[in-house]
Amino acid sequence: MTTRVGPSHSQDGSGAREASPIAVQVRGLVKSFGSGDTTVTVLKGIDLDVYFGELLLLVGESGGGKTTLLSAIAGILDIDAGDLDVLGASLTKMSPGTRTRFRGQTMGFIYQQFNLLPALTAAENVAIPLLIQGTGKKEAISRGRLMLERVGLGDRTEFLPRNLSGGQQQRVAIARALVNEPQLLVCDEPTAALDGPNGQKIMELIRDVGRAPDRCVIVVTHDSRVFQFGDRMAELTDGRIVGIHPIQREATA
Amino acid sequence: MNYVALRMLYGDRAKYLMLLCGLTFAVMLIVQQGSIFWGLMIWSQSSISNLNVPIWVTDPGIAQVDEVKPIADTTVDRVRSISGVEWAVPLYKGLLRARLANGEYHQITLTGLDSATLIGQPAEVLAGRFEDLRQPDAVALDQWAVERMGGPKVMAVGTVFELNDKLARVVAIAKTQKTFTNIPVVYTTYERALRYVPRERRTLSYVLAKAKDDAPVEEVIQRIRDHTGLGAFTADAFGWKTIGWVLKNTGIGINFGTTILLGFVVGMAIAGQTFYLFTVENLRQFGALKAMGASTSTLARMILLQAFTVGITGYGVGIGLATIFGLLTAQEGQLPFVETWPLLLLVFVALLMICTLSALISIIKLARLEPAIVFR
Repeated sequence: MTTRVGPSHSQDGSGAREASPIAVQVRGLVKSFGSGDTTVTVLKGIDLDVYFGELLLLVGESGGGKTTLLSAIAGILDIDAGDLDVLGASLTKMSPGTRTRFRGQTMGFIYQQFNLLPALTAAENVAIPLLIQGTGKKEAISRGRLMLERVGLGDRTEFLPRNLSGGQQQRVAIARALVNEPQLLVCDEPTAALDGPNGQKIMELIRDVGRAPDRCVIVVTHDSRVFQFGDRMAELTDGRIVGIHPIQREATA
Repeated sequence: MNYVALRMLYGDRAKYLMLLCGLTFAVMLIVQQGSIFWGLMIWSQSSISNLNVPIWVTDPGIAQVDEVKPIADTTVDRVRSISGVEWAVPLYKGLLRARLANGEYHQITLTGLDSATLIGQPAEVLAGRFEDLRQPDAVALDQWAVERMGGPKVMAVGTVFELNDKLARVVAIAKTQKTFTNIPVVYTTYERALRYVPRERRTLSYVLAKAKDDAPVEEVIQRIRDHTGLGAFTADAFGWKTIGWVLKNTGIGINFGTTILLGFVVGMAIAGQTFYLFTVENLRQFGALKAMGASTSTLARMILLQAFTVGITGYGVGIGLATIFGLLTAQEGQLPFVETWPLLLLVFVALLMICTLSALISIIKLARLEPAIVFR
């Protein structure tokens, strides 16, 4: 694990937080798509540090490279140049198989479209990361039910996704992302498919159950209503980070 | 992940049923056509199996049992004199026309058995007594002759008809396996058969023989060939020779082979396409699984499990339906239907190929799938 410490900034707007070790370190990251004359460079030398215990928002215009950067950090997209240290391991030096196992053991994913398996109940969907890791079916589903209780869906464990509302489906996805206690939680537009109040609730949930001292959360969003839930905000424009700002919030009583 | 794979398979009910129907259809078609084909092959050598004798002595150039090439009448005695032969009897087999009392003509196969022993008589007699063949003008029919010549009201024990203007009286009706040509078989004694047919220089069709219990059959057969210069075969070998002739000289092999291949191709096409669609429609879900740490080999195992599960279910249902069809048609005796374990094994191997190839198309797609698709 990288032991450099992060900048002091307010986590809740009430004062300085303690310095935290770096969870994700990105240096000189370049990623292009296409070939020859049609090559489009989406990331043009990104440098970024993400710290344990924080919720980082990746914001910026459409096509700016937010999702591509998130995919690269999550190890689901090969990069062309640069270094990627995630949770103390160099993703760029890992074989594809090792990277897949690493993802399964250390990361949780929350998607814009939820990506729940329609044939599986909520509890079964939540159990999937555990099943992938080889946990027995009974134990995995049992832990899935417990996690659903944590996200407020204890009474919906046997429901199929089609019988759940969009907000409930995203809660199931959050439970699925957290069930194997990941150190890195990556979220791609988690509120984009939800209406305003549901989006707020989902971000509250991600902040409450997702953030922990030994975990960091990266959220790609263009929804300004959820900015208040982040600790810092990195703004991408045309494949470059043009600014990283701590988010100031008023202290709550 | 086997559990997840099966839930995904059964969860998409429409595609599951489509896959099941495609594979069931393929299995049913292959088993049904294969069994009918094999049944026809069995029928093609019924003239041999119905007589149930171990050794057939024939003209050396014989191609198949229904293509009779007469041999010298002295052959029976020559075969009897060969060491290791327990007995040898003559057999007449030839085509003739029967004229019924109602004026109808029917082509029949006249079979003349040794009058002393009646060796070659059918094992099961449905009416009358086969031994009564020794009475004047007596003949016996197989049940197919009764069916073809007008039914039990027209042909029964006691019915009189003419063979080449000579009287023939039915004394027995035997149960036999249908022949490929389904020409009615009329049994009589060898001597009487020669009286019914126009005189020829050579009248002996075959010599039926048996080796002594302590003499190896193959050695005895070789001795018969060496001493007589004729052909000699076990009943099995003569049956296979006949089957080989039918396959070579009729289009039946190509015809059934084409249908069986069609079943394979249709099954392959339906299963392959449906599986591919199933994979493409669940691509984001598979991408999500990959992102969550499922390796390509895990996804491949899931796809293979899905393919083999639906394949084996389709195999069972397909064989069940084909067997029901076979039982119904065999009861009526209208279609030959012989379901053998080598055929079922062959169909199983074909099905595994269909499932593997279908799954492979999907697996290739998944292997190339970037999990980043879930973020697009």
